[in-house]
Amino acid sequence: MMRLFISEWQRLWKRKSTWLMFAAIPLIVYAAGSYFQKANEQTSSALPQYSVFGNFSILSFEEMLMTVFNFMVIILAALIVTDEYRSGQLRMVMLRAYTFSKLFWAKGAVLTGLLFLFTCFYFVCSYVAGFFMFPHAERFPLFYRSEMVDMWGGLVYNLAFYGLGFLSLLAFVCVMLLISVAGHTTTTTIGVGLGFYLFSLMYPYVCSYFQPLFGNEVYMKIFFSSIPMIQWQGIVFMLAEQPRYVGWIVGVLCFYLFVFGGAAYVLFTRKDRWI
Amino acid sequence: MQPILQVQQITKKVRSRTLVKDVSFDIQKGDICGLLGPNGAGKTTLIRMLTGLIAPTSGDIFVSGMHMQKERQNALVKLGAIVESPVFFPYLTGRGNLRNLVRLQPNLSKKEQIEQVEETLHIVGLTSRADDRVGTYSLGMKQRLGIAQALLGKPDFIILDEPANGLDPMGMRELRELVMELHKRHGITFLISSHLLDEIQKMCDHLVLLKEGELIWKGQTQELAGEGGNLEDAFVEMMVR
Repeated sequence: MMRLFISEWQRLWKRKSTWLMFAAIPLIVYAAGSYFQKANEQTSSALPQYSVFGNFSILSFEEMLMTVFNFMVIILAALIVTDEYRSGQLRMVMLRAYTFSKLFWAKGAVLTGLLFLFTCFYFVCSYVAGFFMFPHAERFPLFYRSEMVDMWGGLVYNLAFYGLGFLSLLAFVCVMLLISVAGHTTTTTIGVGLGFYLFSLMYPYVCSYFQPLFGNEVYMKIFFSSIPMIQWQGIVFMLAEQPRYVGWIVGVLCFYLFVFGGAAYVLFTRKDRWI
Repeated sequence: MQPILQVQQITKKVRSRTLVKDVSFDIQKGDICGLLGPNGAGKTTLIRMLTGLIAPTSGDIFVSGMHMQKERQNALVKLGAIVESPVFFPYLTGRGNLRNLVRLQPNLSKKEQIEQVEETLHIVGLTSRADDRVGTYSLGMKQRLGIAQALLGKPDFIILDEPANGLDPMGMRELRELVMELHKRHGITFLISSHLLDEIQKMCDHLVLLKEGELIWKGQTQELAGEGGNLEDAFVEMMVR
């Protein structure tokens, strides 16, 4: 299994697209920094939206998680799974003495490992950018918390935020694994992946028109059944002074992990491979 | 002696279509067996089942005594194959592709992996072009590299699906000589599917004929070709029967 993982991992780093994504991270962080510098001009420094060295890491990650990171998952799933599978490249690996189950786990592990690396790199880059681009406030406010935190408290909060953000990415990875195993071309995988993403962005807003019918509690549960909405608002709710919807959000993420991940596994290991 | 390949009453149905119907044959160790049939006869479908890429609807396949569906992982240890045209990772060199794949061979140290790749490149005559990207290779070179990847792990049995497809006469000759050399020197058993009768006649001592998914003949090449030695006439006669 380890040999399979190393072989997949090695191949991944021979792709230019992997290096391009990796190289893009500092630029994305810088772009986010420039945006938040401008936003600071019109924001009160007493608000948690005001960027300082200690909170820039999560303010920028929150934005990039639901856009750039999700797009990375879509592209990587299309390249690592659909492209290799449907072009016949993976056939050479499938003809080796490994079960399809092991190959599936290796693919999943490689995708997860790469995203973990990207997330860690983003964390480091955003701290470096925050150091040079934003004021060094000794204490700063956080969302839905009455007490301000110092740098150390902020770091712990940031790590928890990144951890939950990474968990939400894993849920999206499972969705994309299913789409990429079922997709016959990379275009299909990217198209359906983007479609799923846009649908996840839109249906909470469409449902907001019917909020008076559902009631607030049901509406919030619908809102937090969407991965991008969990990434945008849900994580902050979970890390609030009085955490809200924690059980619901964890349940939703587990649903995506097990239902979509399980379906992708069954499809990959059981279906005939006409490649 | 136990056959290296046992195919027992294999049938493959996809929805209402029967692609392969009740096919049974054996291949003994040391044979070079040709799998002949016109386009659409079910050769590649059968090979996909022999390599475990697809599961038969019914029937059993044993490679070196191991059941392909139940013990696929073990059955593949001493089996090499090219299924359809060999497709490589285009962003890797020839050597890079082999090094990436040789990692998947169990119980090989790093040194042994490198040695095996170099030995395999030497056998197929690709050492001088090994550091070029696969995208720059001719079809003949890709076929050789395909054989090279099939040779990793030193298999006892190699399945080649239409290996001569698209090759020019020189390429076909080189491929034939390579197969004969591997058979002679390393004692490798081959199953080669093709519809190029002349090539098959020159290489194979045994034949299995498929038509519309059914096995219509199996035996020694000489037996089918007859005294005149014309396999083409015998094959056409079989197909129009």
